[in-house]
Amino acid sequence: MTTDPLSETFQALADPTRRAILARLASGEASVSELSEPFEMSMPAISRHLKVLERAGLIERGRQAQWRPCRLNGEGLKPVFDWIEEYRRFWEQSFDRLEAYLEEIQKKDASDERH
Amino acid sequence: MDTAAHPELDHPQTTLLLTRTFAAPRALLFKLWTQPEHIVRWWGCAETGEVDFTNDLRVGGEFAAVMQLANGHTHRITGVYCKIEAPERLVFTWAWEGSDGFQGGETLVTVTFEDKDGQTELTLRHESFATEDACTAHGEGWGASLDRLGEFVATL
Repeated sequence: MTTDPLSETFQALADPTRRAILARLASGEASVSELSEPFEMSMPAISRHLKVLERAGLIERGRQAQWRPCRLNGEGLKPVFDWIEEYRRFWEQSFDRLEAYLEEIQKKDASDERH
Repeated sequence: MDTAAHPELDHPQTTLLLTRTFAAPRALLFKLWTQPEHIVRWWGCAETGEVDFTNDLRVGGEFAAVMQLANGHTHRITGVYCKIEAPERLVFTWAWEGSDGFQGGETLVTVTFEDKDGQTELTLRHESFATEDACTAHGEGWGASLDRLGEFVATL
């Protein structure tokens, strides 16, 4: 299976801890220890989650050796939220076709009853 | 703004909510949504072309829609039925798969059919993410944190 960037993003988001980390980062940058506070999880475990998020382009990390603050990368998230427009187009056009099809079969039923 | 009148505003970016009234009883609409010979007549957008639809209409049963696009590519949509409550409600998971190997994340679709004096008000809710076991854990998980992220993205 080819993993395209959007799939990698979806996979990164498919975990409640990682979503909670992102939600926390939506209100500002934070260190690994700050991020691990709300979770009953070791810092290495949190670091692993951060690596997944970083690889998917959802967060960026500062380059200072000691304190590498994490921050949300909005550009990485945007395609996920844009994806909804694809569904909208699909369903709106399906609804148009469904409307036309309904009219067609109801006309047919009515004329069948007459014969 | 009155958000009660605009329910889509409650979930600004993560949930698609569409409503349309069809001039037909809901039993007929439910049939058109669940029987493949009818589904292939209306399912899809302008680029979709011919649709091949198969389903196993029971809770836990799967469906697959294979669509030949005008550009020669094939698109597959697969999913699992979570709830089948004729003629009121249909809930299923939904995932895209392209012939180029593209895999979309699993999403969740809830369709409700409400009787309005013989007409049917159809509401479709397409959530951009589903949990791995969306069928059992519907509504759990993605909600609040993703809405916050959606709001964050909207500010960019």
